[in-house]
Formats: sequence, C-alpha cells, structure tokens
Amino acid sequence: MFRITALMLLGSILVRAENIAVVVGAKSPIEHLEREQIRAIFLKKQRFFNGRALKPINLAPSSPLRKAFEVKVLQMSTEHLERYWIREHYHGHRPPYRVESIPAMAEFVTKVPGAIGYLPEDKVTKKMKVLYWIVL
Amino acid sequence: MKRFIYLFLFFGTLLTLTHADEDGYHLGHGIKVGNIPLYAGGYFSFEYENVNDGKEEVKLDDFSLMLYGETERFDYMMELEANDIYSEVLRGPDKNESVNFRLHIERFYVDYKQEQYTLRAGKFNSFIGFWNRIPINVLRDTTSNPEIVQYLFPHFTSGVNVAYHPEGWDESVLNVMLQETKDLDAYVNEAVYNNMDINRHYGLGLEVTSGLSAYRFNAGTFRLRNGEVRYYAAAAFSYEESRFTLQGEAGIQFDEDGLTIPYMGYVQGTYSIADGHEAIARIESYEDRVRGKHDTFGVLGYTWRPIYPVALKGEYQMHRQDGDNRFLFSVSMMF
Repeated sequence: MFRITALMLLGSILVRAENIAVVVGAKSPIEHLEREQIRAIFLKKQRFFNGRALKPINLAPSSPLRKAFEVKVLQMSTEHLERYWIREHYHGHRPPYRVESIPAMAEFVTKVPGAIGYLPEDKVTKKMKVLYWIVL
Repeated sequence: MKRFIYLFLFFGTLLTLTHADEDGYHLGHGIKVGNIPLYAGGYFSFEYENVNDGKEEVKLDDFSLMLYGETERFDYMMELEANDIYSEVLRGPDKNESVNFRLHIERFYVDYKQEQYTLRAGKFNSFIGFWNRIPINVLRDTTSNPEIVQYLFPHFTSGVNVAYHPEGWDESVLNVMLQETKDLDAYVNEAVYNNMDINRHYGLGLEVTSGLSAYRFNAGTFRLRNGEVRYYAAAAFSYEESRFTLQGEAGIQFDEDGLTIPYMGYVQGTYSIADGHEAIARIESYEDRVRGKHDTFGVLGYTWRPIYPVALKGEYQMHRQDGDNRFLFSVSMMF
C-alpha cells in the first residue's frame, strides 16, 4: 500500500513538473484568466485588462515550450499561426514581443508591468502569479 | 512584352533575396525601421488574363509599400500603392502597352485604443464583410475579386470608424463608419483610385464570432460625387475548419427610385489539399441595374503557396455568356 501511494505521488509530481504556467508579475491585478482570454491576448485581439495595457511575451519559435503553448492554448498549428501573423502584418499588427530564453521570460514577466508569459512549473517563483495551468 | 519580362525578373530576384532567412527578417512579416516602433513591408502581383472574346493581357497589377507601427494606445498605418504599373494587351481590339507609376494613398490612418473602444481616423478598408478586409491578391483566395466587393459598397472609407467591443462578447465588434468628405486620395490625385467616387459614407457593422463560425452584418448609405445617394445592406458568414473553409456574402443596393442591385453575392468553398495547396470553388450571382448586367457564374481555382507569403494562382471562370469566360493566372508576394 505504501509503495502504491509513493508511486502515485511520484507520478503526480513528474506529470506536474512538465506542466506550463501562464504567469504575470505578483503585483498584477489579474487573478485568473480563461484559456480563450489568454488566446485572445496572445493573438493581440485583447490588448487591455482593467484599463491596463497587456504585453504578451513569446519564446523563440523553435522552443518546445512555445510549441506546447501554441497547441494547448492558442489551438493553432505553426502554419496557421504563420498565416495569421502575415495577415495581421497587412493590418499593421505585430506578433507578441519575443525573448530568447526561459530566464529572460521570467525576468520580463516580473519586471515589466502588464507582461504576461508562460514558464515551466519549476521556474515559477514567488515574484509571479499563475493565472492558468496548462496540463500536458 | 520585354518590359514585362524585365519587371518579372526584377521582382523575382527581389523575392529570392528577401527570402534569405536573416536574423530579424522573415518574408511576409515586414522589417523594423530603426529603433522606433515603425515597420515597413508591402506586396506586389503580376497577372495574366485570357478572355474568351479575344482579349489577352499581362500586367504588374499592384505594387504597394506599407509603413506602420504600434504603441500602447496608438496604431498607425500608411500605405502607398501604384496600380497597373505596366500593362500590355497582347491580343484584342484594344491592343496596346502602357506604363504608369502614379502613387496613390491606399490607406492612411491612426488608431486610438481603449479597453472597449478603438477610434480610427483617416482612410481605411471599410469594415464590411470578410473579403473587403483582406482584399490584396497575395492574401485573398483567388486572383479575381467577387463582384460584391467591387460594386455594392465603398471599398474604402475616408473618415472615422468607432469600433466597440462589448464586454463578454468574445471577438465581437460593433463598427460605426462616418465619412463626410471625398476620398483622401482624391486630394492628391485627380482620378479616384480603387474606390467608388464618393463624398459621403455612413455605415454600421456587426461582427459576431461563435466557435468555428463568424458572421458579419452591414448596412449603410453613400453619396457619389455626382450627387446620387445609394443605400446597401449585406450579410456574410464564414465557417472554418482546419482544412476546409466555407464563406459567403450577399447584399442588395438601392436608391430613392428603387433597387439598383436587387441581389449580389457569392458562396465559396476552399479546401486545403496539402500544405500550401488549395482548391477553390466559388459561385457568384448578381443583377446590377446601374451597369445593366446580370450573371451567374462559377470560378474554379487552384493556389500554390511554396511559402505562405508567395502565391501562384490559377483560376477559370465560367459565365453565362461564353465570350466572358476567362482564365487568370497570378504571381504575388508579400514582403
């Protein structure tokens, strides 16, 4: 019985370690977002929350974390997103600001007001607030 | 014809050069200008048309340059376009060659954004239907535009638009368009370019998105510079799955004396055969009492995009009158 409980605990920890957190700085007034809202923010269809401008942050296109985020939250393939942003280029809109590493993402989110990003669960600190969990 | 070949080679070379995957630039996404929020981009297209009644024409149809940017509260866009820079009628009674490099103001506007409102001032694509919002060759589905986009309502509005995003209505927008002046381009060019020759446009639009479906409802009135006042009403729908899109738009136009366009519309299906390969089938029907024309015709098209911002498109149109049947081919690129 002890072994089974221990394995289940270990299993849940391993699964949890791969989860992705959608995060903002700890001082952000946002407490929780639905997946559709996060999608709208990262497609720049929603630019404000309670009057404050939002700044969605992306990792590099090759990042596995970004790919998982795009599939799970945006629910769009790479090709579909490429098409979307080329069309937005015609409308005069740019994709979210891009950072090159997970530490850079963590720093940006904690230091820039309005910034919203995503991180592996083990990179979430007390300086951040988790708005949404992406369970992989 | 020689000039056309030189132009084609010039832009073909440009295409190859700009496709270089350098840091900070990807074809079709524009390029940052300096260290300010300003980006540059554009598009162009070559077209070949062969009409059954004997006309055959090649042309460099569009060449456009865009400059735009975004800040926290303001967006701005300037687009200058030259149309029919080079065209040559190879066959038919109007056989000739012409070169034209007059630049026109295609779009020129500033947006001020708040949480639920966006105020736009300047010249912009009228917020009507689906096709009119992305009307350029490289991004639209076929080389030809449906008749409804060209004859039912003003393509562009020079004035203001207030977009209201109701709280809790995901991706839904209410647009109010107001124009009480001539087209912005008409202030610098004599001939009105790519738009109805109007000096008034009041329009109302509702955009609703629900899952994979989207709907657009529009109504409005415009006044031509010759004093004629017309009214229009239009509805559009779109259903989009991963490989298949069904889209349709329909409307009517009338003036104080009665219907000027009793019906005009299209239904189109687009199927993605494989990545970059799309088959398109469209049926259009209209009666236009102003031009004295009516037709019901089919369009079969095929588009190959080696990469998304480059499109090679072929289409064949089958009209009621055999003489109007035509084949169109185009190469277009966004940079």
